[in-house]
Amino acid sequence: MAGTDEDRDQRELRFHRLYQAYFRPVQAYAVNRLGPVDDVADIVAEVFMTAWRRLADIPPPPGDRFWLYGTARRVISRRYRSASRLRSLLGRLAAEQRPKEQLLAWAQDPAQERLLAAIGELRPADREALLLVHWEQLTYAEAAQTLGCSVNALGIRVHKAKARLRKVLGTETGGDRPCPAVIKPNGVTDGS
Amino acid sequence: MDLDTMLAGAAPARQVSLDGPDSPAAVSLYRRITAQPPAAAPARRRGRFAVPALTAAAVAGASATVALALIPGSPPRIPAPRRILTPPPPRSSARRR
Repeated sequence: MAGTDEDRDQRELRFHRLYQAYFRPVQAYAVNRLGPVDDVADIVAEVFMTAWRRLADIPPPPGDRFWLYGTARRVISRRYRSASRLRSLLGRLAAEQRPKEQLLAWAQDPAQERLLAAIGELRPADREALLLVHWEQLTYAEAAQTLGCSVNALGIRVHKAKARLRKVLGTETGGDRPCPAVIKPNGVTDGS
Repeated sequence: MDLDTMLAGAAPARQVSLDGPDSPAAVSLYRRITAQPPAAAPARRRGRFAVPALTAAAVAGASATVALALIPGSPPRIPAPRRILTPPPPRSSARRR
């Protein structure tokens, strides 16, 4: 029966588990896309608000994590519809918006500055695939599930993104090294 | 340096300390969210799709009607007005003779 106290308790218990498990990953996702800006708290709030409203639509673990990432992606793109604005945000991230006490060593590394700038110049679909794999640490299969594409398509996007980064950043990143994107059936990747 | 190592090290979230779900801000957000009643989201979603679907169906129906009317040789949709038949004038008997 819908609407009983028992249902309400079940619902809240499920949401509590979700919140405890993924509050930090969703926050990390938002920081990874926007940098440590004030909007991160608003984005996390909107993602979990959506999760509370649509709890019945959220798949069981491990799919719930990908559902939350997908929701966070949509929330961010809705807020920053303009691609140029997103690029400028990433550029800002590469420049002066980081808390200095936390990021002092990182900010002094010009190679990472260039890497962030190069990531900001990637095609959005390639960049998202790359960041899900390398920053959110998803397997190719998990990232493909998050983006709603095939594992092969995901692998191609990551491969293209990395090839582009190697080209932009030059030889210190192993640009002459072959980069096979071998995808095992379980979605675990080798060699790229 | 290897690109994978560089990428891993460049993740902004690794450079900042993130709040946990038990931080005061997170607990406050949790209370705010769960204080809301479960929304009737499915009903709203049905309504959201029903209006465009009905509009599309109406437009498709009107287009089909116009297209059928424009096809050469298709039966006229408005019947022609019936001719009023008037009885022939009576023939004069003198002529017959």
